[in-house]
Amino acid sequence: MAPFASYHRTVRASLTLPAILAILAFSAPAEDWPQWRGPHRDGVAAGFPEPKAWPEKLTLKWKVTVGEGHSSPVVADGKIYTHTRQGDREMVTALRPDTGQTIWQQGYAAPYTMNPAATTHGKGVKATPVVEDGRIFTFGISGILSCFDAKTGKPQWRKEFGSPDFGVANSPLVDRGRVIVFVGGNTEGALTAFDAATGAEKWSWKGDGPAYASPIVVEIAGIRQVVTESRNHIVGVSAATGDLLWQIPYKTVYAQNIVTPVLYRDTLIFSGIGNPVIAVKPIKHGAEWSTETTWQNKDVSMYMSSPVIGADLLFGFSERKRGQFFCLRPVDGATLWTSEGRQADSAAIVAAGSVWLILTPDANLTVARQSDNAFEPLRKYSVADSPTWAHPVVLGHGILIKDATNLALWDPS
Amino acid sequence: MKLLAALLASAALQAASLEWPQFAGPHRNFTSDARGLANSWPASGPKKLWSRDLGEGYSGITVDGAVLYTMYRRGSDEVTLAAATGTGKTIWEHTEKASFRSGMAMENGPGPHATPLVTADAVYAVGILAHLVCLDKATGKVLWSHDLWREFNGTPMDRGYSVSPIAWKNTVIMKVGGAGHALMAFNQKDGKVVWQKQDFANSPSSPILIKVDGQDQLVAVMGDEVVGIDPDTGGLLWKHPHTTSWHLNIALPLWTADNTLFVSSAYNGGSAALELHVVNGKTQVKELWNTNRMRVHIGNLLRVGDTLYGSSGDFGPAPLTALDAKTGKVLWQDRTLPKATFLYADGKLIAVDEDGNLSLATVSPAGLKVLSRAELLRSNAWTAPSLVGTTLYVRDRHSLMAFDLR
Repeated sequence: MAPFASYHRTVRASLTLPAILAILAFSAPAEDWPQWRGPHRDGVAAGFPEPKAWPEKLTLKWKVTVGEGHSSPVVADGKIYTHTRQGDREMVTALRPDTGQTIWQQGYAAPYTMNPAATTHGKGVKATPVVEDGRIFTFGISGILSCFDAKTGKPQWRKEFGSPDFGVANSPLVDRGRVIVFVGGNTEGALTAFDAATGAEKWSWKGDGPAYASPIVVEIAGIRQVVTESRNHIVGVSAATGDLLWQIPYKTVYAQNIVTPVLYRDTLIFSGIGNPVIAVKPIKHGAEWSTETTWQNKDVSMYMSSPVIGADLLFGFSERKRGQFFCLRPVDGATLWTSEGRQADSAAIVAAGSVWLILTPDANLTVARQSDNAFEPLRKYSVADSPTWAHPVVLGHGILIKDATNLALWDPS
Repeated sequence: MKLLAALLASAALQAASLEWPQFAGPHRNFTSDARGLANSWPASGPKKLWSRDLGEGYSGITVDGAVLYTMYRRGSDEVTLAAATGTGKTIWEHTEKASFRSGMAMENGPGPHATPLVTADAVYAVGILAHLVCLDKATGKVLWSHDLWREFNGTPMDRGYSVSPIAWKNTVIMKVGGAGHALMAFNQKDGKVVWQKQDFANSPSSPILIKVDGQDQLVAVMGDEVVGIDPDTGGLLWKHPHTTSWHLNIALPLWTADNTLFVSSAYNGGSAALELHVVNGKTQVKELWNTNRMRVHIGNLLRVGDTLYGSSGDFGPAPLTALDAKTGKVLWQDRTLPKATFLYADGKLIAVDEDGNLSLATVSPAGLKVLSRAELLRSNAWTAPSLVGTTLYVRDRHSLMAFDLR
């Protein structure tokens, strides 16, 4: 976790005093999970209070219908939030963690016609909201970006953009009072920063269209930058100005760049369907930047699943062998192990304490020991009756599971 | 005279239940009445009788006495092969030009996909361009042919035509797709159109013939629905929606004893169980259940007792999946038998999985038990096996083989 601590501190330091007070006022014993892939946007739940022994069965605490989609739930300031589709409307719902009861719900019209290639995914929301400083930002499948008051649900501002072939899937990011999203469709788009309070555009980079990967913000060589896979590139863009710092051409079949990058020390790790896993080091020379590929691993390849790093292990799910778990050494990309093939169609992974929580679309939650030696599943739980593509989210000692239409809280204790 | 010939042909088909005259075998459901199969094989697999080179294709193997038929691709041609069942040696070949048309996407395999049909008199074969030929069994000479796409403007299929012909009385029935001729019956003797009916879009799935409370029906899974057709006239008896993302229904429907029809598709289609009854001459269709947990892609469904088995999934792990046939609830999934096509005989499952393993297994509501397994074929092995007596015929995209399963 050491490499991420400074990033975390920086984010928190950027909060305004009222925001800090608000957090304290609502402070729940559980760590917040306010955005895509958690507090540090890396799939790591470091403080997860795992049970002494994983039980034979999980206890279902509650289950409520929230609507269609694979958008992951988020948790902030004592509330759970979901962004879903109900008929022709997209709904934002705040729920009580103890009962799943609705605290507030807001919706807006979002008629959407899917590309036939994507109908398997459903018309539900794909991007995960982000809660920051008392506001929730949502990005719907057709490209509607909204801001609501997180406490009351009162709409703050809304903007409409297009969407690429398979629908909007990049999850908004908040950095220093700006909400950053990749807006647009197949032919044009822009990585854009909006003022979180007003929605006013602060900067935009129009060099490429959106992919399905979500951006992250990192600090490299002292420069804060937004890093993402765009439609045909990997890019680093100044978080302050939106200026392009560096880019690498990056192509996948049908322009399906999906994997959220992860930072390891000063390298960024990427992959995409049919491509190896690569580690890229951006290097600053005065005002200019270059990049160096420090390693690549051709044994495995990620498609829709983003990897996690913890305990100096890069754990992920490869599309090779019809679905295979793997573990790499993030410092040099060496393959530590690969599991047998045919494990799943995809996997949503969270590193929680000493285990990996792995939710596969067949509605199985596998708990595996974080091992540098082999795939070591401890337990496998059936947690839904419909496909589960959203990420599992830790809530206290429980685990939130979003299936095709429901949200449920499961308790392992 | 014509009627008599038809009756004889149909009687021959019924009597020869140990033959494999068409796609999916004598009962068109991948079950065989064969007995006396061994309960295990040596590690190297069952006794190999012969093996021969074969070209590309997923076309299955039809067996009629001492002759087997299948199709393969050679360069830009498609070949219908007649070979000796005892040796695998070629008896005759019939070749058709089959250059891909623009817009065809054959990355999953260039075909041919359909399995020949053999009747008392002739062999019927159809390639990826929907060119149907009727061939003399002894010589391979073309007796008649139809280009189902060009002549009748059938639904274009960008992965190639794949519907296996089916015989009914003196006709051969084909799924063509399109206004006025979604289904067509051709006279077996001369290829003349006997009837052409319906407006549905076509799908790759092959049709079956069933008897519902005494009434003969042709069941065809079309682009967005499953339909029941009077096989004598082409008249519509019933239809029920069954949709997928790409109008791609591929798996063979399954009709079972308690008047239940099962359909299954990948591409978000899922599976449904339909109970059919004929009441006062009208077919009543009741959907018993519908689930997205079983999505058979290119394979088949099997029912043993009250359990339904199939490989669920398309390009992912596609584990063998067992459902309660009465409720549609998943009983188990097991990836030790990956995406497979299979037949059932003598209480055993004989499966070819896409990785190229030939497996002998038992299945029950409690689980899968693999008795023996040998890697005898090469990936992607998507062609279902054929069984005649105790001789098993399998192929991949390189070879054709026969094994003795005693």
